[in-house]
Amino acid sequence: MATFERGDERREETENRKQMSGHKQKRKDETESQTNEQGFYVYCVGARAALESLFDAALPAAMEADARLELIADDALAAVCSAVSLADYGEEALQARLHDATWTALRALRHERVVEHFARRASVVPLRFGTIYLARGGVEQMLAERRAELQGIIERLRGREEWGVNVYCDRAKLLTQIVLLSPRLRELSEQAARATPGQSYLLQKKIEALRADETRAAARRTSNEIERELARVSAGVARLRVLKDEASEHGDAVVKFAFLVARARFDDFRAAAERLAEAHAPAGYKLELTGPWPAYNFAGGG
Amino acid sequence: MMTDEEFESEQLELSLLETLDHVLTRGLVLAGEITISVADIDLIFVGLNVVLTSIETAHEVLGARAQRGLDMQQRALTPVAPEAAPVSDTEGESR
Repeated sequence: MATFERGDERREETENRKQMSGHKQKRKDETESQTNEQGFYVYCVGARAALESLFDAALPAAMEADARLELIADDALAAVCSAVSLADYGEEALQARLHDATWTALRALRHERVVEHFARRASVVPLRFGTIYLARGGVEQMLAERRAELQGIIERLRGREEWGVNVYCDRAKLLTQIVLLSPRLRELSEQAARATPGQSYLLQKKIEALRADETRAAARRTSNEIERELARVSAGVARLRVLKDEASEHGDAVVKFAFLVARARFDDFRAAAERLAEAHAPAGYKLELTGPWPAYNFAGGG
Repeated sequence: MMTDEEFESEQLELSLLETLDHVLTRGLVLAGEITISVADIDLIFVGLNVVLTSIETAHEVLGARAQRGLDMQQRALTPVAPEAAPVSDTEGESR
């Protein structure tokens, strides 16, 4: 909300002033001299003609309210950019801003909104958050220097989009299943039931360790199968890191993939994912499909 | 049991984390004259999950995604056509 944000930024300013008053005079001068200077924040790169045609229609808001999206072009390529004040986006100022999670997350979402807008309508290379050039010429030079590479990525991504597949598992259910499926575990459990209390304790320890091992192995097999099957109907696959404590109502995250899927093959991809979801549901797995994302994981160089 | 509101908030948070993970740590890296390094981002990543659910933009961006996301379990398997998504700007920023 505009109100929320303004209030928030006012607070930031006050805090910055407070911090600055404690600093050396030199630093203060440097910061002030940057205030009116501008840089260019870059969101994504695509074919110039395709992007130019999109500028005839409505566009999403840029990173900051005081600037609009614009194209900086060189030959056949263009970058979607917007001007940003170096008072906020200069090297030093940015380091301070980044520690404010709200500030950063809001900007990251604006970046995403812009990239999504263009990715839905053209083949674009999504850039990572936070690429800033000090002048238009810098962007033009980058486009010229990396022309072949960028054009290659644009072609590779054409007609394709990224889909995320998150695999979750209900650990309790999987542990139970493992006992039913593993002859070795069944045998040990039966022994434990008949054993003396002392033996039973040791056997229980052994069972727990084995169960954990087999559960991990089963999760790995399932992950590999999902990767293999979905790779057949897609043009690329990447394994993503599982964020810490990433549990949801689906259970614990086991593995996360990104697939590059041709729009024309999405129905096949979804059908394959559904089949896998159904096949692995009894063992406690759940598959979640997210997207379509701009092809962040297939933009190369990351 | 979680209330609908709690559920929605948790979903938003996960979806937000996922989006931020994409935007902040993936995508092509160009040698801009000023770039934000991954190390800086990992630092801030820690504190992100709580702060954010009230931000209007989060609802806007993630709401659009949730509609298109497919949850295998719930069988909500009708993706919204990408081109149908409207460009909106609920922050009321001038363009």
